[in-house]
Amino acid sequence: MGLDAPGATSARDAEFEQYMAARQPSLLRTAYLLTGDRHSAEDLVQTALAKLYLSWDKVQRRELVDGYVRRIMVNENNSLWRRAWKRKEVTTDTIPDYVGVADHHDHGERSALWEFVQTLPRKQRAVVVLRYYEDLSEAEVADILGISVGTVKSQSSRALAALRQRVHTQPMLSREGEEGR
Amino acid sequence: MNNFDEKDMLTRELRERSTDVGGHPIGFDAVRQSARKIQRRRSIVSGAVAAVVATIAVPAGVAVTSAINDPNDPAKTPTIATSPSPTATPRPDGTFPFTIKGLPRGESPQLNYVVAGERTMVTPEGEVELPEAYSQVVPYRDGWLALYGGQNGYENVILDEDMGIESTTLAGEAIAVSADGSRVLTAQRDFNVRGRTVVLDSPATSNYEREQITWDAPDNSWVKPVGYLDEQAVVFQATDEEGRTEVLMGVDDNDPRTVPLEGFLNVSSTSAVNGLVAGQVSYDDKTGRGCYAAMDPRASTTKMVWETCDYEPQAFSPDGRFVVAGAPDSDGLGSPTLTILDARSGDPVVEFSPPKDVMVAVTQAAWEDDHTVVATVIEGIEMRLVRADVAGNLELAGSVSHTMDDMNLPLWLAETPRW
Repeated sequence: MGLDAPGATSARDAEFEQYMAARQPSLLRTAYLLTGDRHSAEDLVQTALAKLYLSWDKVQRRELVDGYVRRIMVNENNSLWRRAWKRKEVTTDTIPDYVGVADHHDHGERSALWEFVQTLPRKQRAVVVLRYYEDLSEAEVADILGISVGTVKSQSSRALAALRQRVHTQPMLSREGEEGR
Repeated sequence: MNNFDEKDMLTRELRERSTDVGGHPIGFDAVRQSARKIQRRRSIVSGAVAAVVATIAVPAGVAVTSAINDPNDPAKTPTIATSPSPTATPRPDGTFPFTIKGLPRGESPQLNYVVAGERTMVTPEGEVELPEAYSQVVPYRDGWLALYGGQNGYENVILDEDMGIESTTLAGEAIAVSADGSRVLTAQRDFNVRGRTVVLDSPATSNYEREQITWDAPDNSWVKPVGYLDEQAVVFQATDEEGRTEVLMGVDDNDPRTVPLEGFLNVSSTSAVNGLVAGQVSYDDKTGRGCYAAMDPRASTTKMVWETCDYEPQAFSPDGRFVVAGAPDSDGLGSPTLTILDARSGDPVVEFSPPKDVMVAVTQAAWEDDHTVVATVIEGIEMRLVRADVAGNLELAGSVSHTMDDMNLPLWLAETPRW
């Protein structure tokens, strides 16, 4: 697919822009939950939208676009996660410029529950986000991730079991749950 | 606390955490700019293929002969029942057109596959109804060994020839079978010792005389068996609770022991013929792509034999000559290209890429014989089994065709792990 010259507009681009504008906040929220920080989430959404843009003419059923983008984001995040893991291994004196950015999400008052979500392996975390945040059915999660329904069940079950185990060792978790009621 | 409490807690936490996630709005121009970079990278890779293929693969038949019959390695010259006929014509850039439209129909695949509903497995001998929806099904002794995603995690399920369940144990994330089908590598969680998982190399056929060998995986890790390196060595990867993955070679020389293979982020395939293991070694921040490599652990457990940032190797051919690969920047559907690399150099032997304005995605690929790959391929909303060979020939593998509904994948190869 060829890209139009910068500044050029077309009905196709207009349609894509409309989709971007409508769905970007939602995609960013999902990306944030997948990555755990705003900046990685923005990168993830931008890459996913770029890949979607390249395939825009070929996604024949517009109602499937959300699922397609979610799938791109999950797969991309697997790579981002590997990158993040590699960074942990590197000692550096240079502080990344986004450290210290203060917002509601990063100001240090992370709950033990959020910490728990952050410790989940990337694949399991994707299942948890799609299942319990996006509120998708097991079949829908399986469709998006390209895995069997059985795998969705086992991954979410493992996550819940791990959470249950944490509750025994970290009573703060259950208190948080009660406080939230 | 019951499951409902935990689900509620998670849902509430995720919603609260994501509320008001700000960030900088991403503009259309930024997205287009990223798209251009991705497109440019794809063009560069295509150009690189042209250069390499021009030197080793024109005409295509010569390349295949050259790659197969290595005069420097007579011991590895394979016996070829039927040599692929070099009838396909590459484009000027050396790649072959990749589309499922208008392909000739070839024979049904010699690989087992599972069709819509996940409960019907089609084998060369006929259809078999599965008792459950499995993630992987491989031949085992007189019956089958399946991987099932159960409530307590993955389970190895041993099935008899009539698909009756014989036994179930808590498992690893895949099952690996030796190229000749005589051995099977699995992982099994130990009920008696908390956090212990063992990796088992077991006979898969009744007439294979060998005792079962076991290796201990790191405590509290999730294990994925990957494959065999030779008669005495296997490869598996273990992911700890922090999500860090360690790639290990299990060696059986009197006392089974494990040796870390340094430099891999994860691994995808091994070959007991060429002794190589292939996997991902890095992720490039600037390009957003991964780099991949092959290691000969018998020579070095830290140095790579070759490395590529243009292809993602997935599975070595049974004779160890080739490795089938996808694109390093596969999107949500799968790889837009299918490439066969020379296993010893990592150079492309043949690459299939879609015509302009055609979206093709390869979701799985597996070797049918030494020179032929069968892949599950999506184009538009149609999904087909496609057979590709090292000479650049492409055909439909049988008549099976499914329509994608709601992004479902209605077709998958039974012996290749889905996750």
